[in-house]
Amino acid sequence: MTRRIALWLGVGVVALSAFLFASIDEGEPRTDADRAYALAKTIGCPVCNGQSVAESNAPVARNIRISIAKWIDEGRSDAYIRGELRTLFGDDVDYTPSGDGVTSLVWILPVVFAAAAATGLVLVFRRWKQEAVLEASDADRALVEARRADPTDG
Amino acid sequence: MSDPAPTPTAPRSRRAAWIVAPVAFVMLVFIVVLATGDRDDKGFDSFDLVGQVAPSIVGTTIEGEAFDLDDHRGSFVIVNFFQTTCIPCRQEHPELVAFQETYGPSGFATLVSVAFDDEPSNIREFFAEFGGDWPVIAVDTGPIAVAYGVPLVPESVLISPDGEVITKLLGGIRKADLEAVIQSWQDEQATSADAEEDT
Repeated sequence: MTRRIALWLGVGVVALSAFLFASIDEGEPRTDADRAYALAKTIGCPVCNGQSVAESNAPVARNIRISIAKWIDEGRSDAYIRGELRTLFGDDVDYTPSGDGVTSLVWILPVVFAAAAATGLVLVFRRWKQEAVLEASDADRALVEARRADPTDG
Repeated sequence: MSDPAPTPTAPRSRRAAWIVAPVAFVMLVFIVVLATGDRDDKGFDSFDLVGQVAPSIVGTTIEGEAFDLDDHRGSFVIVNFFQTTCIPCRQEHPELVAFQETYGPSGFATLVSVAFDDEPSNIREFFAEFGGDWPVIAVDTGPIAVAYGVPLVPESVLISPDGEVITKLLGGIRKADLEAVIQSWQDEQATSADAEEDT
């Protein structure tokens, strides 16, 4: 039983480590080029399937990369650039979901599912613990007494 | 040792149902909301510039002349985004030539073409082959295309004499379509002016 709990704890530690590793902020981009690239990675190419403008070589993606660099040179904020691109090409180009309306589900649902999974694990562990504690019945005790009284029997 | 007394637990299938049902319900709600959400005005083909002052177009034409959109206030301006290798662009070109020949000389309307990822030499050859005589900007056009929200060509944006975006025309355009849009806009303006006079 202890081994099984240790195994589950190991799984939990690995999952938690992976989650923390993935969610750790990489920090502020060091240069304007870094910032432009970081932004381009989170803006979808309007005419490509699932590619960001950083990855795509479509003309519109190149144009957007140029515009991002130009806006950064002009001192525009990331929020301004995202807003402009959403206005011009639609909300779908912004890969960073907002916390408003239906989109907020993207943030809320993982937390809900994580909480539900944690609760489920706790319940399962508790049940295992309960199953592990076995009460000896009167018949069991009688059997033990009989064996002690006559160890050669059976 | 005898078996421990069985604990009164719910059947496994019923417990599974209690776990699966809420998850399935949430997923179903999520799918329904996403499937029925209004995406018409916020998709990739959205265009929110109508009624706004047209983004600036300042550049040098392939003839080496300076072009500034603001210099053309007072005329309708058709900003045509094109590429010499694009078939619909080639197909619409004679229509643009006809439109320019009809409305260009009087100053009623001005055409300006903005090349989309193309070379000036290709554009010169294109105009020499298919005709047309209006300003064409071919260098540093990326930010202009982005400012007008152009993902693909051909696309054209019609700008009113007072510099506001009237509409964007997706795909190849025809002279008659341009005339109809301009006429419709003029009718709307006349109706609004009448209504203002009445009040």
